[in-house]
Amino acid sequence: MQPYTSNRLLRRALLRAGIAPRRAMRLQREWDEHAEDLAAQLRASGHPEDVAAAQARSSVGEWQQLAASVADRDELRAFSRRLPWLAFVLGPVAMLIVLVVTAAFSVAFMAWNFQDAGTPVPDWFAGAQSVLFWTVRSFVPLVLAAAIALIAARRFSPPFFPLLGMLIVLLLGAALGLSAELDRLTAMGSVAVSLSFLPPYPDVWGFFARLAFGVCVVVVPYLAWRAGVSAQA
Amino acid sequence: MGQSNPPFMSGVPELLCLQVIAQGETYGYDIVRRIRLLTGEAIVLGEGVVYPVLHSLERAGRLKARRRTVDGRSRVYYRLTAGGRKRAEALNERWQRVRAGMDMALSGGGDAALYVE
Repeated sequence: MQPYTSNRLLRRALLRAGIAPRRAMRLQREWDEHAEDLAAQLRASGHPEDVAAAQARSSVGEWQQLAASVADRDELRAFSRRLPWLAFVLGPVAMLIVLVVTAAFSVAFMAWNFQDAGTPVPDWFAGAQSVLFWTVRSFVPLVLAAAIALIAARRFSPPFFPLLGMLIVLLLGAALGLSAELDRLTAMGSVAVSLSFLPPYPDVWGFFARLAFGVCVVVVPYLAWRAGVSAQA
Repeated sequence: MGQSNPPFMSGVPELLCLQVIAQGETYGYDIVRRIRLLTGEAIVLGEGVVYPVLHSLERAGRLKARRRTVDGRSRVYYRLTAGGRKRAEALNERWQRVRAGMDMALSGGGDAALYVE
């Protein structure tokens, strides 16, 4: 008899009901342990092993009954199901903004330090700053969007908020421009943050290319996965 | 195995679970068994249905859960928190009032009230 822990349909039903994956796994394991206890008691009272196991399973319930016993409990729903707009949209967008601001201020802060010390900007600084800005512009939005897709897929979340979150993060990431101009000797200069969809529309074609890349790498696989799951169901 | 109780029992599983766990740290199977014994099989919680109740109580901070291995068997054990103890007392008090009211109504003792108005 298949244990509840490896029952894919039960797991999927629990996740679809909004139960967090870890809690779903714990529930499944506790149901298995309960059935084992019950079977042990039945064996002790003289039932043959297979009869005891079957009777224990039928007492604990079919996977549909167990899933239904959890489905109407709002308090067991994961955070991402109770507040999907926060988990999939506002949270990742806020995280992206915080990282952009942190990167810009980090560069400015280091430049101020060189000014205070009266030393010229070292050669490695331009490289480090480029890597930092490239990471924040190109890598972070993709990682955030991929994280949204993975969490949404793992939890069988309804697609609206995850898709909205992915698109906003990819759009902002693609539009984002981060640059610094520093005089090597005086460490004077400026750090600029720009968005391609705002005047004077810098690098607008690059914006479309980055957006298309992000959509192909994250959104399309997510939609394909969803289509596969729907077809299976 | 007895028949599980119908939906009008809503709220009772919580009280019974808290009452059983108040007697000491225990696990799901033992809770179901003890409820059956304590109520003389008048109340039989669905074998699998007790776990969502326990998880809800844990989520509300009324129970603490930890995995323990006893006699070679690993299970999740539940114990009451201070909040759980308060909740058990409050539910118990409420239930006593309901019971007293039902007793009065069923024994006809409340008939006088019908004529006062």
